[in-house]
Amino acid sequence: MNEEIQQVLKQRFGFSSFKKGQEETITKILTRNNVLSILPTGTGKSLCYQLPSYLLSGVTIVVSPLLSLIEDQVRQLQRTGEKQAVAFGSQLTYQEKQWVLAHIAAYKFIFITPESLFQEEILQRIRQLDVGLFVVDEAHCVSTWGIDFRPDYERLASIIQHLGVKKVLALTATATEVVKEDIRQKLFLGQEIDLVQKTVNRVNIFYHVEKLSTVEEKLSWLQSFCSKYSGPGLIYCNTRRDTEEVSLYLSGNTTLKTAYYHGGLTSMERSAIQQQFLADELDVLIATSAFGMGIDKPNIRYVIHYQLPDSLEAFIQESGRGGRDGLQTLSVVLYMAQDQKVHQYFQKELLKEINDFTHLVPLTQNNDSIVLDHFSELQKKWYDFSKSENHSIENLQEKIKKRVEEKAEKLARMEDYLDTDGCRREKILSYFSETSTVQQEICCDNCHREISDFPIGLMSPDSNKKYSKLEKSKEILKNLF
Amino acid sequence: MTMSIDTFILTLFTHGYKARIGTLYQLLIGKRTSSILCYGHFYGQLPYFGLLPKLDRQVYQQSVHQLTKKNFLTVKDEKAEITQEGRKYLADGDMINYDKLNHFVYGKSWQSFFDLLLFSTQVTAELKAGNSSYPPVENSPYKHFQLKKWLAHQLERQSKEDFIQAFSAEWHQLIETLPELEGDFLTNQLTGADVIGKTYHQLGSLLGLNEFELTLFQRHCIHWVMTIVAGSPETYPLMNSLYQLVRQPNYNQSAYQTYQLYLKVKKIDQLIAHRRLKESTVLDHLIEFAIIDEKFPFFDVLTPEIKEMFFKIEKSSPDVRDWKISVIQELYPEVSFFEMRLYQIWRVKGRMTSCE
Repeated sequence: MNEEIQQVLKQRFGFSSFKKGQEETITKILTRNNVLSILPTGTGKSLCYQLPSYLLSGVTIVVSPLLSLIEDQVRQLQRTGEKQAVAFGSQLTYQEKQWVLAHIAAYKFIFITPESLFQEEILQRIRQLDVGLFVVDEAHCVSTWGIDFRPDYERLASIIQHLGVKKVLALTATATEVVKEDIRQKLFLGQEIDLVQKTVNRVNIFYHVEKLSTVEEKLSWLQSFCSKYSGPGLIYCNTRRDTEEVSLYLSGNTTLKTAYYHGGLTSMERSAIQQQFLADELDVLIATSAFGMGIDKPNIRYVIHYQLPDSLEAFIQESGRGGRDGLQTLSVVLYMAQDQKVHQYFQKELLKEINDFTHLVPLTQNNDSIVLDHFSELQKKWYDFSKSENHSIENLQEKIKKRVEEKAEKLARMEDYLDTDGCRREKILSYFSETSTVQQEICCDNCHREISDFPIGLMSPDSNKKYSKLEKSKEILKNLF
Repeated sequence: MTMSIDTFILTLFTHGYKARIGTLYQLLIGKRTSSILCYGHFYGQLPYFGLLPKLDRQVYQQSVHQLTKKNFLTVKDEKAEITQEGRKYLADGDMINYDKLNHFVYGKSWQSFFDLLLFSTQVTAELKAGNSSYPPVENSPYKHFQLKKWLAHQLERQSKEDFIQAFSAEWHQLIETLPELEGDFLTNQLTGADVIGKTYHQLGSLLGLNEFELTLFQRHCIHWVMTIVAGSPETYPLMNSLYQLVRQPNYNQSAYQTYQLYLKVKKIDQLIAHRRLKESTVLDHLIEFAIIDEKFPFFDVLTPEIKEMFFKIEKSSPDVRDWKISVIQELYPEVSFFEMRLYQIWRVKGRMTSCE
């Protein structure tokens, strides 16, 4: 078995050794049935399902939470020469979906969002396939993205049973004890699982928090930081509009090559921006959380959060995009007190939505379609969920309220990280029930108050200047053909 | 001057006639009725049909209100007309060119065509470089299949080298035909081998265009390419074959069936009986094709006697666009709405071709 694994690793993927946790996960899923693998960002989780798929018969179904992530994963496989991978989701037109369904048996990898997977027409076709491996990528979504955003993620267990799949692999970079238990109960229905878990500690990341008072101060901080330190860098924003505004500001006030990336761009635009970033044609990319999961760029030197993330899980996932090459990297959170209001607002809105929902549901007894027209997208999902899983509305309401409380709790833990006077790394590790074993030379701003410069490289004076005009057609065509 | 939605709406009145404000809105969002198509035909605005499908009515009304407040438009009885100040304002501004935009003809297919053009260019460039593992710019499995089939077909007919040479030659010919800015704008989006294309938003920022200008300019460039490629299949056989893969007619199928049957039977009552549609629907279908088809047989309906009658009306009411059937029927009760419409369309077409 080990020989076979090594052979595929070398021939298919061109590697001669594994990163931490990969081999263990691969061996476990090849020999056992239910595996939960928690590997830190940057350890190449995708390989953990890609490689065994070539040693198992049948198709591999990969459920992922975001369409942009799905497309990234397909592109990643295409780079290895795999042509039998398909991204199935709302980006396809009706005709394209029909075409894919008619040819679905020809694919080795089917990437799909849970929402699409639950469509009867799709399920029917998948039921006819021999599913060798069922992968739940970003499995923490079973818990953290539960009922308030993606009720369908909680229902994956019923699909797994329905399809009669034997091997299920759940992958994530972050899972607290509570989340692990959640995954075990909701995805594996309390069955025995094999756990592969490696520390969330990323020794090459220096953690820093910058407390500021206004948006103008944040922009000005970014301007001087990004002009001084060498990238490539990644700046995460909470909204699409912020990505565009920050990108415009930096491009207007520095000589940096910047671009923004969010789910509102077309697939082709996202692909072009990814390629530019991967090829080091951009100094800074400003993105929403749509960028990241599944994109393997080794040399990101800093990851800045323009606003506070809503949880330590999200923060670890996103800051962990930096330094996959093992070199020193920086994580910064730009924090001002008003930032948390956005998250609190979303929580209030969610509660309001469930209250409205509870009032509307009794009316569905008399005239379904009229009331259903008044439901928001989320309320429609709740309604379908309560119907299909036989949940009472009271039960559903209770679950959502509990979830809102949990989210508030997660936000509070994130704030603890920002407010602490102690070691920020310790804060992260203790959240994930880990303890630090090694004293790090370079750790965080609180451990190194004497440091005046960040421990990453400075921008060289002859670094590439931003694009100032369009390239000439003839030059481009000459390079192409 | 940057092009805002307000300025754009103002340009739609440069024809100088008093035109209905509500109908223009319906045209911009793409509501397909024969009266809206007639409006587009009469005032030369069919190229903007369906250009802004998500335009909010309130935003549109606010724009018209602003233009009226600035005295660029005058509005009376729901009809608007451009003022001298409005014309001067437009003349003083240096606006981006978008005169090749034709959303009526290419609205349904331009995006698919351009996606396929970018993808085929990447595939050809990678073929030349000898790469088989690369992230494709296109992710749609159906388009992958479509392109694979297209490529296989091309490679059956010629060697790989000849194909690459021919495709490259078409691109060179295309940028020779287009002005420099349009050519650069399109080629800067190309990806393949060692070249990574820029997104159209990135290009917009390099050119200092706002989102609205960028929308107009992008479509202007692509529609121009489609017009060139569709019009010269002998010069652009490869690009034309890509266009044929995604080409979509700018009429609906039911209207097409009505028209085809009409060309055979030539009798409206038989047509209604065969099509089993309401008379008004059948006539609307024919009016649509009177606008679209350059070979529409107007004189089947517009007999010399009928034409003579309309010539007389034209002497007292020279602008055929403003004719109302109720007014005409007071003097000529035998005239039908269908006859009047056909005459209006025919006359406007004549004026357009004679540049009257």
